Amino acid sequence: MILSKVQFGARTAAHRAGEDRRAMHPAEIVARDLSVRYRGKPAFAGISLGIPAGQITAVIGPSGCGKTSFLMCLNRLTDLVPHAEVTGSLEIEDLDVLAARTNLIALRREVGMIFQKPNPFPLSVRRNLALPLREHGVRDRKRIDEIAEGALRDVGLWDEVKDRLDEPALALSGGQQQRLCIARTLVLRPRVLLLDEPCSSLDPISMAAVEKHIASLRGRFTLVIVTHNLAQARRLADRVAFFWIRNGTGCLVEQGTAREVFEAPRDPLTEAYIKGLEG
Amino acid sequence: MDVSTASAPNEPRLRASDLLVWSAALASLGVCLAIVGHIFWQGAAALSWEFLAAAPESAGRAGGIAPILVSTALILGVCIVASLPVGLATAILLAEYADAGTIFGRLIRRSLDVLAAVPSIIFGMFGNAFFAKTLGLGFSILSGGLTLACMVLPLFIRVAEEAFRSVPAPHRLAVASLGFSRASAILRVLIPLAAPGILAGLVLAVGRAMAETAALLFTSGYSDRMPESLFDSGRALSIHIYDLAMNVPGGNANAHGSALVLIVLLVAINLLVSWFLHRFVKKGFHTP
Repeated sequence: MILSKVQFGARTAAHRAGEDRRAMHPAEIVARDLSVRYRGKPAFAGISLGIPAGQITAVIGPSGCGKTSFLMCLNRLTDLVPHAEVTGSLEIEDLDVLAARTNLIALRREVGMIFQKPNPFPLSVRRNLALPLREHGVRDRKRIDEIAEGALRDVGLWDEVKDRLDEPALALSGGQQQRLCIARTLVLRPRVLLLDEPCSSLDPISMAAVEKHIASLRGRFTLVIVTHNLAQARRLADRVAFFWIRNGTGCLVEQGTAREVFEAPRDPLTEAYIKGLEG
Repeated sequence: MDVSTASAPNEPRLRASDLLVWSAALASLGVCLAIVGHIFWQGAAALSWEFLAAAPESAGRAGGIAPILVSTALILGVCIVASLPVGLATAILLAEYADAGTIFGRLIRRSLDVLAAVPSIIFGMFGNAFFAKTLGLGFSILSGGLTLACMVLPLFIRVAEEAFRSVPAPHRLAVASLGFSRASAILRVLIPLAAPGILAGLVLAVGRAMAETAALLFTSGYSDRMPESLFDSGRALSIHIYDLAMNVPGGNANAHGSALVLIVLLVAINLLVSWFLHRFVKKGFHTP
């Protein structure tokens, strides 16, 4: 009994130390000649892209150009797709993401992901945040509540839900649900946050709220956001990567700072796309 | 405008097809009401607290059904305890591990289909040969419950597998992207999310087990004494009804009484579970 308490305490302390260390360090991502094939058919090919730490990088381009597949490589969700094959090299800081020995659980803890449609579990708000923490070894209720509160504050949800933590998450509005999903990822203190069109299913007011809080995460996390909304990319992004489809395969046409890509695009395709002429 | 008034829905015109559909629907309702009504009419007279609390006398013509209720509950208990873990594990294997296309998955599915199509009397003979004779359990509640477990497994597995498959993909993505291991994704998220469906499968299975006669004839036996252990023979309600109706002259009144009890129990279990599911789904599965 006593022994178990000691171990329990040690574990929590170690966890806390780990959290603090990681929270200070958003990670840099470097992809070289990255390609994905589904059943042999390429979704995108030959993408080399540097994503600097702590910045917001927007991935834009028409539907079917492999933007989402690119995001799914970064946390190896591609492993869930039968017959998906990823080649090239992908590094997040010093971690070789594509290596067979890479611990997927640790990787996905460091690289969180938000999906198009909010997908909170059909549980209370509190349990939505506690579940991933428990899964990763945080058992102390007080500690869980503290971390949950911090994450809810980060997404501006604390004042809205602090009195309804035990109510079902599905009773929240769409925008609140999406922010809860972001908070659910943040409780694990990831270094990278992948956002796959996080506002596409939301009304403009909810979208503005989600966008505002995504912007506030800049600096503490490396954010990669896939969006069809060019205005949103302009508002949020530090850097922009423009994907296009050539011969049915996605490819990277241009990348650079948001100012470069939006104001002085080098490629005529980029220019046409951001002016709304193509795609 | 003329066209729309000509085919206005409020025009009272009875078509032959309407008539056919309505009379078919009424006929099936009628059959159900006739059976239930008959049993209520005939059985209500036999029903009383003494009937539920007393032991049968004179081969069941008089007295009550207390030991039969206890045996039924024990047989169902054995059936649930045996089929729940095996069925759940198989459903998880089929839904989460074995791709629908793999030979292994197909093999299991096909054998479950075969098992589901086997008549219950065959299960009874198998139970008699395997549990009663080979394993030496004799005519006992244990033999009966295990035989029933074999019989309801295919049904339970199918429904439970469907429950796992119907967990929405976004939840699976969420669980994976939050770094859950496969085991805890299943334990902490998938099983709770699939719980209503699993429970529904269990109720279907229990309902089928409760109504079963043939599979129990050669396994749990006929003894209408109060069972003292799982190794005793025990008579299930359905067997009691069968015996009173077929083998005991003058047993009809109590057969109807027992049938009424059986129907009320089945309806009660269904109502209880739907109430529970309603509460469960509304509040989420988390209430600590």
